[in-house]
Amino acid sequence: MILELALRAPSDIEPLARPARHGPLAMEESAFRAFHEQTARPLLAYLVRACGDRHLAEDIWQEAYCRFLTADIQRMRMDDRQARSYLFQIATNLMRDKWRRPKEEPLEDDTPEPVAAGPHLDLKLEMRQAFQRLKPRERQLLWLAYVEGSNHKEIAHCTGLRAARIRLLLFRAPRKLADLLRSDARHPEITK
Amino acid sequence: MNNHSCQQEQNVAAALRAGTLDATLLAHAAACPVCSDVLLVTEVLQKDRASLERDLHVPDAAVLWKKAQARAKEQALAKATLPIRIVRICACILAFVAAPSILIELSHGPAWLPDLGLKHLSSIDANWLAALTGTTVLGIAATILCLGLSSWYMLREE
Repeated sequence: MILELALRAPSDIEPLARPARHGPLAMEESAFRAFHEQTARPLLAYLVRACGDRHLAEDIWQEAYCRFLTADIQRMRMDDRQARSYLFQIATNLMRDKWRRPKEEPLEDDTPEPVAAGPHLDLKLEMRQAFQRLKPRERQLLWLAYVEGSNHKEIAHCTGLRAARIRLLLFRAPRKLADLLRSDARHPEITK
Repeated sequence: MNNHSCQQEQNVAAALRAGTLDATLLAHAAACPVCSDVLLVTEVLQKDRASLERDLHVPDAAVLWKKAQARAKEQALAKATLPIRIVRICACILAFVAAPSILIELSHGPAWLPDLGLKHLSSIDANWLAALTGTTVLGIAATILCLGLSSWYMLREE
């Protein structure tokens, strides 16, 4: 599906005087609803795990959508995958900006801990703890590659890294996470 | 396969994501350390994603839409008023640069000062109306008119 992006001439920038055809934004509201339906949860899940801080992730999530909608993309036509990649790129850049800011408290995952003990919840907790021990960049790459299924080109577009560096990091990071999981594991499916 | 990568690595991850992991790939992953790690990581992350997405509450699209609309309007307004802001800044700079020369000029007692009736300002008492000249009255009237017109222009949208 091609997202309908309005092609507006510069003279059309008069949203205050009279509403433009699609309002001041470049995308139709119905198209945005469909796009949101497809991307909202995956993007927030990515941000929560990559940031390790749910409140920060939610802030970045909202800001990413706002920037996506108000970006100067009138003259572009994107398919779903490109638009999704662009949204993840904005979110990744925002995350990097947050990390670069000095005097910030170290990021901690404040996602509520599971209240009841059990094999499934133990596994989730172990996974989260192991994942948070990785570097932020490693968390981003692992999630994009193995959860989102992004290829190296898409990851390069999203993170701004070169393909050679991505190949190297994506060689090391899974091994590192697998080792962490195995060292912490109390479950037969992990220790195998 | 070598120590650094395996050609089946992407296939294993893609098959697991798609739910089409067959016995051949599983047997390969069991024998290949690279694919074994990839299989473990992909499986654990996929499970985590599924449970995380179930638990997450995401705001409605309408909320984001309205927020983005407000942001776009702010940006359009900022863009439209950019020339006004530039002219205002230029005027401030010009006033700052011109102020010393104006003060010097005024300290010498300019020749046009008597025409404004300002020469006698220091000695004005209750009968200050007598000090006003026609030029001063005209200037005050023009200023009040300009203030009224500009106020109406700026506030007419509200």
